[in-house]
Amino acid sequence: MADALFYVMAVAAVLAALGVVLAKNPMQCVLSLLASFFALAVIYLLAGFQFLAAAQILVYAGAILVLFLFTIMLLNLGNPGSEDPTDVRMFSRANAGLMVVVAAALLFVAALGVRRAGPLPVAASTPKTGLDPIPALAGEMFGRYLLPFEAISVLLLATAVAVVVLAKRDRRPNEGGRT
Amino acid sequence: MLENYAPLLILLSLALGFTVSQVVLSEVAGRRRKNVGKGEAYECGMEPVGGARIRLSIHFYLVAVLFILFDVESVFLVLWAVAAEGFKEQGLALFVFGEIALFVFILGLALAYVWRKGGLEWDR
Amino acid sequence: MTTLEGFLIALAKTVVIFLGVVNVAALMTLAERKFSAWMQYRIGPNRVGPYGLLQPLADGVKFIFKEELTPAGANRFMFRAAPILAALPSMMTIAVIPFAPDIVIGGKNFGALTIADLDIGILYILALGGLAIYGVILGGWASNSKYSLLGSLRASAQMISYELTLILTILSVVVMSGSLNLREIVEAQSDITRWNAWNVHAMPQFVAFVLFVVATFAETNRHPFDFSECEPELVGGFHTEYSAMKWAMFYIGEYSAMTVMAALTVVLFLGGWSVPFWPDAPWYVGLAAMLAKTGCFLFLFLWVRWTLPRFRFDQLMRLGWKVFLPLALLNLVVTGAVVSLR
Repeated sequence: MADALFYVMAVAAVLAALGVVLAKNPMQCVLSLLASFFALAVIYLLAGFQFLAAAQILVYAGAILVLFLFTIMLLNLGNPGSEDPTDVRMFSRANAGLMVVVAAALLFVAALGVRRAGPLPVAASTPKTGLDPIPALAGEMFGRYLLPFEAISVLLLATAVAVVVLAKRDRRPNEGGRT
Repeated sequence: MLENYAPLLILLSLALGFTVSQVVLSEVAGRRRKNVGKGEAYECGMEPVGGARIRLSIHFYLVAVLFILFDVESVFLVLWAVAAEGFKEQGLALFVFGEIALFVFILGLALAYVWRKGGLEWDR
Repeated sequence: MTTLEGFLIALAKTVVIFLGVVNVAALMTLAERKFSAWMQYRIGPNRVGPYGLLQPLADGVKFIFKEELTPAGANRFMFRAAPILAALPSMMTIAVIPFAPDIVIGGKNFGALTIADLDIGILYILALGGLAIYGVILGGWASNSKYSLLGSLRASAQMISYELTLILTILSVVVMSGSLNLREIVEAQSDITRWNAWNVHAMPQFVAFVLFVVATFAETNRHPFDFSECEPELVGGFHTEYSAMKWAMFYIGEYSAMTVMAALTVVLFLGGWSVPFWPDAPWYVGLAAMLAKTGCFLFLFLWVRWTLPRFRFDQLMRLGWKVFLPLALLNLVVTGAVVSLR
């Protein structure tokens, strides 16, 4: 049952990812990305990482994709009603197909390499049976990975500064203008 | 345990079945008589002025980015919130709380900066 | 317990809870009209069935046979997908709400009345609840109408702003109970050895409780924060162009989201199924207590709608970012300090 679900979700994730690159309409790209994130979350869950699965949906699907949506509407891409629909496809279908083949070949080689290298060193929070215990994850995060954790807050602060600089740039008091 | 998640599949099939069947049923059963007026966007009975694609204010972009910042923050805080009691048993409670306080303080700085720069104002 | 038996029990619980919530959502549409009528000295729907009780059924039949309009410039696929995407998340989030303690019938224990007893229950609700925004954005965008687009933008900005308050206030509760599992949170509040009123999270976490309840109003786009459908400005907001069952889907989504939010408030802050001064109440009393408490919050949704005037959008955003977010953060840090120092 779990194995079957894994293969279904793996295929769905790949197909949805293809949809992101091949869809004409930017909104369809976003929806495909949403589906892809979802399939990935289920795969994480099947591997036993329930916290990661929830965080994937919460952060990627719930927050970052919303930003993508807003950006698409901000740039006014992909008007369904206009005479000249903006084609946002990055690649022609033939090129995309070629790239998929190349990427799949690379992945295959990488997988072979991983197989030969043997099992990776296992982190303490990796679930051996059942699901990941969140307190153990927290112990790692606030113990061994203390510095990266605090660095993230600085990174987020930098993001806040950057976005204000970007968004508020041309808003001087004397300049009138539509808001 | 993973089998705790299995009933979600039942619920998903129920919910999907319900919503999709209702929408499809209504498409099939409802009558259809098209004319030009019905296809127009509703604008209080007047003929629609201009297109529907308005460029939205940069504020929405700002809010979305700020949301991501605090969303990421709260995911990390979830880890701490669950384990806060557990750290006490290990005698690490104060140390970890100090980490969290610093983390929240730096993000508080981010909020203060955006506030100061007027990023939270909607009427400007 | 055999696998088949386990499956049948899970199936029974899922069907009961799902039908229960959908029916409550349907009845809420009637309750909304009845209460508004009484508050305005009118009678309200009273033709279909006794006291108009069958009105939701009649409405449902009407929605199915209504003519559907699709705006000329609409993106057809997304125009159809949006109502489903709007209703699905709120229906899925009911899965982790525990409605009653372990059900014991004839000496046999069937487990707590919840669809999925997840260790990360709260994260599950937050993650899936956050997806409701897609139905709103897509609905407004696919309609190819100004009002719809503006309504959906406002609604989505409001939902993400208040989601932060929601998450942070919930985390204060999590710090106190040390679990993301909603059943364990309820049990932490009904701890018999420490049974007193202080044990219910609403008391020590009063600030979080108030912030949470207000944030649920914004999160479900309910009055006084219903800018997505601010009638005098935007007609119907993001569902201006919708008709028949697709339109109703948005409402089913809204009312089930209200039901889930009311139940979640009770579970997090008011001790869920625990009954005051009766620590070992049987499960059906617990279920009744849970439903009664949830009913109070559902009534609060209606009461507020027909009592308070609507905010302005900039006021709403100011309140969310400048008052609620800092307060919720502060409350979380203070809670953490108290728990860590105690």
